[in-house]
Amino acid sequence: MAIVPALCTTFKKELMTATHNFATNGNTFRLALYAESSGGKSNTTATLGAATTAYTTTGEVDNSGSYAAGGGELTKVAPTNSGTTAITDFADISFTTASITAMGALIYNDTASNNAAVAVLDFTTNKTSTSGTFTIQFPTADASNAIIRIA
Amino acid sequence: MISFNTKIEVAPVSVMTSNNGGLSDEQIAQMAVDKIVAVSDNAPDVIRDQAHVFKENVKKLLFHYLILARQEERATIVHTIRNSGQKELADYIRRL
Repeated sequence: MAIVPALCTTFKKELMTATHNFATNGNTFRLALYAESSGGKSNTTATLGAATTAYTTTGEVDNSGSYAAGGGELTKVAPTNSGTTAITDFADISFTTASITAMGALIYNDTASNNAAVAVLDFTTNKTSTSGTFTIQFPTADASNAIIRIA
Repeated sequence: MISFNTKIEVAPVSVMTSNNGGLSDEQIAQMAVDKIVAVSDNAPDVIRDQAHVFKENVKKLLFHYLILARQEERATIVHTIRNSGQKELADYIRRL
């Protein structure tokens, strides 16, 4: 499988070097969409997983509608604690009037000098919009479901 | 030696897509209810079933008010366009 959901290994290390700031006035995080089976721009295929270290254009979907290379900026929800678990969240993101087929996504830090990777998301199956809306909905922000949790 | 066990995780996301236009009222209601009501797969059967029924009822309620919101917004738009003298366009939007 070319897209494997994971928190990137480098991200875990970078948490300890204060590379990432998820506060609402912190760093800028973006979400880019990726395709498998040569569905990316210039017929490329995404290979994403725990070993991904930074944003890459390989396998990224073509520009369409409001989707442009690099993906969309995520609106952060301030990190908080839920019981003994630290969580952070993002607002749902939509790309409109877009013809997109994507199998997964990469969240990365656009403020970090190397566009450091945060997490790889797998959609399980190809998701397609045709001249329509492509929306990624983040899970409920609680200790059991939040998009990023440190227990 | 001092050590701490901790776990850092990423959760799965949901994706909604549409063709030839925006998301439907049904899809938006589903997104909203998924945020409002989370049902654990590990909950006892009786509680889980009850939670699913509750979730479906909340979804129906949201769906109803989403349609109402769209209708009311459209009515305001139609009124504004008609007042600007474009009756044909206003009627077209009203029939959407």
